[in-house]
Amino acid sequence: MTAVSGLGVALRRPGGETLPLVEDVSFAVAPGRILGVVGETGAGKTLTMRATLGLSAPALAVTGHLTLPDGDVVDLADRAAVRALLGDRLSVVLQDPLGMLDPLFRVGDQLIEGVCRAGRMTSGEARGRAERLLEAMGFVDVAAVQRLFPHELSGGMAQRVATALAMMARPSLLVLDEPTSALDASVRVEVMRLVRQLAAEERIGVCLVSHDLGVISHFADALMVMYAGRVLEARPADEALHAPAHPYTRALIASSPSLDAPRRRPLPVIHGAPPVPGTWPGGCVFEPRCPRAADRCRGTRPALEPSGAGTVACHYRHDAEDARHVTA
Amino acid sequence: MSQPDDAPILAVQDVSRRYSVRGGVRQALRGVTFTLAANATIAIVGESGAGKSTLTRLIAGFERPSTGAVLVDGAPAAVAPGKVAPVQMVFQHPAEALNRFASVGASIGEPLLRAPISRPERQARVEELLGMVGIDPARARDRPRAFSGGQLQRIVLARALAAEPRLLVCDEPTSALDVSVQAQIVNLLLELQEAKRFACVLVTHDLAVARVLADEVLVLRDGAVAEHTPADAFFEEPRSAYGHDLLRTTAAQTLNAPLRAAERVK
Repeated sequence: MTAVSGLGVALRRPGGETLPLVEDVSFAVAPGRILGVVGETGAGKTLTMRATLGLSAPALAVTGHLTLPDGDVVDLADRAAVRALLGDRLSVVLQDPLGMLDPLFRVGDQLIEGVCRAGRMTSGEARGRAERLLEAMGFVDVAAVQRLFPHELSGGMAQRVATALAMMARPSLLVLDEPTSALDASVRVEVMRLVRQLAAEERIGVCLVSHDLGVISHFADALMVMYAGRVLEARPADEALHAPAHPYTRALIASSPSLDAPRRRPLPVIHGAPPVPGTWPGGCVFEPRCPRAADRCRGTRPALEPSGAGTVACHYRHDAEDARHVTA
Repeated sequence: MSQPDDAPILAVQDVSRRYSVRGGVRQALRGVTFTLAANATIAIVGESGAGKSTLTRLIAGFERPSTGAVLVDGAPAAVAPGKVAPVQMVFQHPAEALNRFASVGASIGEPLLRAPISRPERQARVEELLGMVGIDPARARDRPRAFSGGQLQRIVLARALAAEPRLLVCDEPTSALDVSVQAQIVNLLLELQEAKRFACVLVTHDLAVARVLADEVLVLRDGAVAEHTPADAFFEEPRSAYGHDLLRTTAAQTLNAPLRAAERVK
């Protein structure tokens, strides 16, 4: 299990004040499993993941701990220590896969460079692993792909090469940040299928970050719903998607376009916009947009409490059954 | 479909488009033919490289077909300098579609500069357009950077409708937006089309968005029409094998209501 506990990110302001951007986020990813992280722009998904990887901007204060499967614990505030694990036990595929590749080197050389330099593998071992990963990523003529330069790759190829690169060192945790949003539907499904298979085989825990519940619903084992810098619901994916307990999760599901929707009928929407940092409501952060909101929600911020096989931050989490049909 | 007039607003007649590329010719479109009735929406779907963008540029009049004709309201589609184009466009990235040094009000008012109306009239019209897309008219003087992505897409829609076009081309209008914002823009498009009565060409790779907005679906593959089917029939049973494949891959990454665990991709 790779686990993050009590992760917080705050902006340091001149004068010693801090502005919280992410508060008290904890999650765990089992080896070979996929955790889907969803939420609207500004929910703190990317900040959380960057802090987990030691990639936060220097102006941000990070708190929290990262526990690796072998029991090692790293203080996330010690960015250098976390970053030393990156490319080794932690890994990431960014939204723009070409940005991860050096335009001047052939694909094959880039794949082995990192692990060889870190002394993790001999170049012979690394070449063998690179070939296996490229095959697993669906390339047929692996030798030909290795001879290509990044500019010769199509978007889907670049995505698969970048994913193979991220898996070279057999990391404990692989973060995919909106990894496939630039790809065609068919390529996207294919890449995610390959990622899931490879992660299971090599016991790599995956965090799949996306604002698109569609992709996540098909590939994630667990779901973490973020809003206004915190977690509102974290549960096994089937449970969260079939019986969402938080009104925000319900509203997100309802507003996702579906192929069974009737033509020219307006979609249910969540009115308003998420609050920006510094303007978070004192009670429940979702209260101003919530169809279920009551006085209690304005007064007291609900803590994450157990619900089913997961946790939910809502005073009315037990009313999910009767409220299921209420949409904003 | 909301009562279409008889004459098609858009007629694409046996259109082909070739580009010279290093070492030969690339055929981006081949023999594409369809018409679109007033007030109707056609979704153009297909994968990267299918010719969606080329077709969009021809309809908007940015380019001319190599052979065949694109007629908007009976006249060849073309943009003329100094004239407001008869076809207006909405793009994927609204921030890139607006002049970031100009107030959003000025951007929206630009198509009205040549109209025979006074300045206060134009200003009033800009405010009316902003209100119509759900943006506080008092914010007409703000620059684009003061708005979120969803708000900017509303502003782009207001500008596109300022010239009262009879045809609107939307190229992936919601794919850069969050799900919740996407739903708002989809609803706004439905509402505006009802109120303003324009025909719409919707280019998208997202069949779920096409499901809500479109009356007809045109599937492009390798520059040719794989099928052109009324939307309800398409989503029931696509006519072409390729349409089937597209629908299936979309279903493999779309939330279905009610959610069915059995449909998770194996």
